[in-house]
Amino acid sequence: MTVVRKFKIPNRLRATLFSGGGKRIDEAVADADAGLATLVEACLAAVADCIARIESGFGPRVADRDANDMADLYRLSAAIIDACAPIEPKALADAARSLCDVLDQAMEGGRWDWPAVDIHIDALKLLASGMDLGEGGEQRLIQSLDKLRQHREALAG
Amino acid sequence: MIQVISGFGAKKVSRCLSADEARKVISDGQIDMVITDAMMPTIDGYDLTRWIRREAPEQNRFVPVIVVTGHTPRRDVIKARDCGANYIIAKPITPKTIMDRILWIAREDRMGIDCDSYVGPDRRFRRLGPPAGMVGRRSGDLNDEIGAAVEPNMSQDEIDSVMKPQKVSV
Repeated sequence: MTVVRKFKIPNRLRATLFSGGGKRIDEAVADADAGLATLVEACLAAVADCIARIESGFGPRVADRDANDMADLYRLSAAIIDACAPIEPKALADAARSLCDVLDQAMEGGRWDWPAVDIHIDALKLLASGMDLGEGGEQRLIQSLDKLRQHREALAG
Repeated sequence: MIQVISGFGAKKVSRCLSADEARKVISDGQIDMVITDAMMPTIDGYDLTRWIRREAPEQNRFVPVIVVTGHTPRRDVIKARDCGANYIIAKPITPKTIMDRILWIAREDRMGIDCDSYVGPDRRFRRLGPPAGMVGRRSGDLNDEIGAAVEPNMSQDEIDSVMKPQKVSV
């Protein structure tokens, strides 16, 4: 029989945070926002580097790309999400997350879904280019990726 | 993440590049909070959290743990649910989201649960919603502030009819 023990957890963090002194919460968040803003250039460069590596390693012009490891592309896509914290558009992270979903499903099936991957690579390049997609354009792009993914999932059963 | 936590004014921050490094830091001293990436080489953030809850020194076994993840593969969803983290936050992170979760942890009084399949803070808290005055990120999050009644109270007859024991034949 499973025995469940329930007990009170001492909340040291509360004691530390509310012990007096230090910054106000809004000041702390503003300082953190300012700190994050200093990383914009580095993060933009990291995103550009990831997209370049994705295209050169997994793009449509790569010969014998079936031999690639899906986990490598997954890691690059996840790295884009990591780097998106201080930068706009946030849709870039959504597109990278959508690519992770595609790859997650492909890894389960053990087979590349190149059409879906290629569309995601194009979407990432488009969003990273900073091109004006018009009002709601980024949102529509992400919705299209969602629909594509759902369609591919339905096909895969 | 270091930039965010330093911006908050944390007095001492230990940055670890792997779960092994983190285990050493956690084993060597008292920690107030752990924020870990889910995706790490060799041992991921979920397994690190599981280790903290089951094998870390007693003083740090129930330290608040926030796991930050960009994407959770389907095979890891159950692992994420059962690892014992206080919160799992989706990237890209924002200082406000991190601060909100830190404040939630500081203000909450969740009980600890220890059984064969799970060690960590009680997960049955979602219905309580975020602390008063804070807004949740999920559409289903309720707030724990009780507002004024919008309908008249039930009469005693109505209550009795709800509670009335019924005979059943088996």
